[in-house]
Amino acid sequence: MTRARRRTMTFLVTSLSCLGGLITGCGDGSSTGEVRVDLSGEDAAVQGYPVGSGDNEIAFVDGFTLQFDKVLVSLENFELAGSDGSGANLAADAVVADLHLGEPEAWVFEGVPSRRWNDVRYVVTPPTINSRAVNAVTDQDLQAMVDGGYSLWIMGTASDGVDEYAFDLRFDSRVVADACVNGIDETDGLVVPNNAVVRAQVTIHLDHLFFDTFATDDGLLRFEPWAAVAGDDGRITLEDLELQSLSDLRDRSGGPLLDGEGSPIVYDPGPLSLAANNLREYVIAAATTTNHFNGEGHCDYMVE
Amino acid sequence: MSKKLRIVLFSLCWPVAFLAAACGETEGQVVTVEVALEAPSSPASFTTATGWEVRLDEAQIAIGPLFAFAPRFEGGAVAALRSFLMPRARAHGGTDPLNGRRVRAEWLPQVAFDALAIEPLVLGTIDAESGAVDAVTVTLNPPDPGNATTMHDHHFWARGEATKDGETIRFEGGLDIPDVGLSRRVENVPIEASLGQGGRWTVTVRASEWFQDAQFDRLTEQNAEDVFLITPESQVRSAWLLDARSTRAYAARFDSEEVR
Repeated sequence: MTRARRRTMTFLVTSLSCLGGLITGCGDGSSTGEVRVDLSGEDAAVQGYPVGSGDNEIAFVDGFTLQFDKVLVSLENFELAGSDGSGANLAADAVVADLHLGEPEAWVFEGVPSRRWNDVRYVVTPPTINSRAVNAVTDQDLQAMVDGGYSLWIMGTASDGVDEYAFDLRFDSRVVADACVNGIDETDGLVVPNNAVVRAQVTIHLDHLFFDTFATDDGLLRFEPWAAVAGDDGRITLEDLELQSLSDLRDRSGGPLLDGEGSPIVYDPGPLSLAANNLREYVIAAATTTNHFNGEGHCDYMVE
Repeated sequence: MSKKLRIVLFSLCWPVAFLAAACGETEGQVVTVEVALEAPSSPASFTTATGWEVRLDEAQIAIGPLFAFAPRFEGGAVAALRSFLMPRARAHGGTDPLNGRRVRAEWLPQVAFDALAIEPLVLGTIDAESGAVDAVTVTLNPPDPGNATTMHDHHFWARGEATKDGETIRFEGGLDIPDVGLSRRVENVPIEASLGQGGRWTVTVRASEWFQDAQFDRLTEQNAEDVFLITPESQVRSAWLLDARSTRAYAARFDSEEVR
């Protein structure tokens, strides 16, 4: 090769590599790794509340304890994307899991290009009959989710030590979670290493359902306003929660729900948009915020 | 300069030139737009969700700053390159969904606005960034000293009359919003528009939404003129707090220069 041709080649290679690097986020595209994705409702989904200990304990401020019987969640389209617009094209199938039974592995993706994928995204959405159960979800429950269009179905029992209250909440929202922060290292998304396996986790934070505020990060968990609207059978549904006006929350005696200083408690939806100011709409909106990544990693979310 | 160095420099300029070309679209240009507040027509009389016929004689709000945001998912090469070069910040998915979004227009001062005004109030002109916007954030801070008298030292002030089942209750009072987290921001007020040169960005304040959940017969304290007072512990105040911070209490639009 002549010197002139070498210069030309140097120019072309340098130019294209710079441009290519700009567009692809500097990945060379030839090395790959494996991504394994688990689903989790954390210890709370299995053990209920209170959970944890010391400063890390999560408990109801009004003394209730709570156990889940089912935490059924339906997901699809787990995907990795680069901020340059490229995607890993994982083609994740639709899955359903009962997170009360543990932390099942939902997907295994081989041959994923090694690089940082800045944008982890997934969709919580009602299942189809073809959705794959990734642990011991019964056929009847899957069929009920399909028929009812439920993306999240939670059942359990709460107790104040004297009375028990069963709850059965079925949510039909479709929520796109994207731009997830990695809860392990607080970076954007996920790094797929070369010739190695990286584990990832879609994490559902069930405590959000019981928060009394979304204006701050330190909402308290309360069950009293739920118990106050239980039907005669002691069972609580979303329809029952509609009886609680957020501007006039009541306790089980029928009196105003008061804080420790005797002031009325007003649940604060913060930036959540509610169709109406009642506890049903509040909890439905709260459910759209439960989706996280690798533990505490927050995602942007959009309700469709 | 050696030929080799020139080749390297020229090569490095390639991406820069590509970026410059990609960023040369209409979106992202500095434009001048007018900012205005308005009340809907006939805002003074309405029926609440609790069944009260309400007539407002006074409805004041201390409003501002205002922000208009670009869509979360901007498409195209410009967005991809911008995103690559300027990764956005993120916050808690449950509490701050707009944090880190691109602000295309902002009005920073506070205004004491008469939410029963017949005519729009033009606040002034600002430099904004052209392009699509899909959400507005309204800030509800305590009244500035210059607005304090108009606002009776409150964030909101209202006076009026509510009637239900033959019972009429005259009422008045102020609303203060606690400085807790995001409580003083109303986010995600929808707007579907593209900001352009010479247009007007209008935010509508719907006072008719303020008392939708109020139960006026729960007011107990009266002043010397037998007017019931909206006290901080009252149900009406709790309802007002929720309703005045609902996205339903606001609207936003952008009118192009031609439409104006």
